[in-house]
Amino acid sequence: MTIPVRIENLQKTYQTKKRQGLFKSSVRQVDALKGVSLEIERGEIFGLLGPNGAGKTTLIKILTTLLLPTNGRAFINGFELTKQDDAIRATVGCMLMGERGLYWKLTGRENLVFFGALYHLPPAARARRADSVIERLNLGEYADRPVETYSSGQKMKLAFAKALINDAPLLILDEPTNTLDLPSARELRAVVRELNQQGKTVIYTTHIMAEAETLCNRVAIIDRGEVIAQGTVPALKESIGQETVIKLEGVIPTQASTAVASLHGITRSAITSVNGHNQLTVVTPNQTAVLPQLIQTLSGHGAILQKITPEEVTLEDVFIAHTGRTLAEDTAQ
Amino acid sequence: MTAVSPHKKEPYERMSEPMATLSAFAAMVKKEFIIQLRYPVEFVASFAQIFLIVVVLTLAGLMFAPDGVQSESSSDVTGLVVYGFVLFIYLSDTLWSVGFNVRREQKQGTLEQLYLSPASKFAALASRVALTLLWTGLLSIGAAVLMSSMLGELPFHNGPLALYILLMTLSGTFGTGFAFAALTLRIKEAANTAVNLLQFGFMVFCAPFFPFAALPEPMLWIAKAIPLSYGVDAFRSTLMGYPNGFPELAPIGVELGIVTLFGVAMPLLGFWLYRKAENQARRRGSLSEY
Repeated sequence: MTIPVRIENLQKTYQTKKRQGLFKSSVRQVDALKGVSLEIERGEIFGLLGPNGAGKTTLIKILTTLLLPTNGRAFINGFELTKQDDAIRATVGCMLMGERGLYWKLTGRENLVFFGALYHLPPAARARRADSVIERLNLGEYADRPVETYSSGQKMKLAFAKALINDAPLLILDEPTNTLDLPSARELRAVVRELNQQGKTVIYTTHIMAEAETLCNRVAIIDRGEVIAQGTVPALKESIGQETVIKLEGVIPTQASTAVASLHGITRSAITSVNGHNQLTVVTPNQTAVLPQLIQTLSGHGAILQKITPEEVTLEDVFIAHTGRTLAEDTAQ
Repeated sequence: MTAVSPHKKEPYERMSEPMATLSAFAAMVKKEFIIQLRYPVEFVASFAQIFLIVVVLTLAGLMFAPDGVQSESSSDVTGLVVYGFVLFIYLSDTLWSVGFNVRREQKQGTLEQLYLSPASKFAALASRVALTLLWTGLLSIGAAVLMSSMLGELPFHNGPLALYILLMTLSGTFGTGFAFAALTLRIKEAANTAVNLLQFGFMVFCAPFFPFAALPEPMLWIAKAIPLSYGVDAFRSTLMGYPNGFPELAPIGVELGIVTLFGVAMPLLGFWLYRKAENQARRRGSLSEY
């Protein structure tokens, strides 16, 4: 049976020009993907995780034929990228760029019927498919209004509906819950799960680790153009060994968090800001031995601690263990 | 590796070629039409504007009819102005609408969405002109009626041959429009400046509103190097029944040859350039830049 997605050593280098005066410019090379290899099995929900700018969208754009890779090969539903692009497009449903990918002067239904035509559905099938998607995603209330009158969340739901119009075996969803409120995001994830149970393979990019943990069978964590870890969520958590996580909240000056990083027995640490407080995440193989030393060092450098929580390892901690940075910190940057 | 066949495994049937392309083309034209109708003021104003331009040009044309509007020479002047104007609005719309539409889709973010689908890129480009040509056709008829009512009866000869010249010139212009769309993908907003320059260049060197004889010698040589000039000259000379001094640039047989070559080769060249620009945009990731 064909593997839906096989990626071999995919690389993408952008060349950006920087103007220096009227006639001069210098060229800078940016390696957005540095040899990514992945296989995604039929019927999986595969999460691509990473901070903004990690290379997720570049990878997605290459897989959906919008971008040409610099090197490497990929097969989507058995068709080779750059050689059989139209066949790939016919077998993939995509949600990219959210609300910007819609015609705002058309109604939601008109958008869906139009995109159905681009995927070669016969006229009657377009209308039937649009009706079915509108019903499934509860868009009926506003489907016949121009998109320009929609809220941001409604536009996102319509963009998701558009990805379903061609009933493709592979769905590629790029940050689909962005701008959705919590109930709508939950509803969208439920639909993704249901589609997956019906046999669709899903690639789901997000920078929200909790979302990936609850939804995905397997995940790949991408950072600075490289896959730094991949596997099932439990396997990834186990991959940081017997290590545990301690979260410390309070007022933590920079010099205090820097001092912690050099302590013996600490694998990684990263600091972020949560609700006006600092939160220091520390990954260590020996919580009991490290904790007193940790508190002493922080207090000695002027930190005022309000909460100390030993926690279960999350995907966020896996990211910290591999990179020494928090995802929130990178995404904010 | 075995490929998945979307036609066999999915519940929704797909159309096969060429129906799929024709149907996608029709859907794109319909989409453009609906969007135009939802800007009613702009839609009506674009029609009204053309007729006002017609009146201005007609009155200006009267200055060149020394014996009054009913004389034979005035009939030639009328023909020159009317047919030149008809061709100008046809060519102008064809030339710019492809590039402008591509840019508009790029700015609103829908260009990438079109590239996500397997729909024919040629159909996507052609659909951007189809509606324009329909409106321009209606406008041309209206403009011709208005101008002849002001200036007297229009000379009308060799209708089928004139239609052939019009179609070939349009086809060549359509190809030039592809090339302009390619340029738009590369230079984006700067394309507007290029349009202003080229549009005035076209108005001067292709002489749609005056005879080529009015051009000074060096400018005439430039005019002769532009295939579109032969389309303008052949079209109006043919409809006017080749009065003395027309066609102005070359014998009609030569002009027909140039116009035919332009009409056949330019769409191929233009589409090739567009595909090159498109691939470059896919390499640079600039399809969605705005």
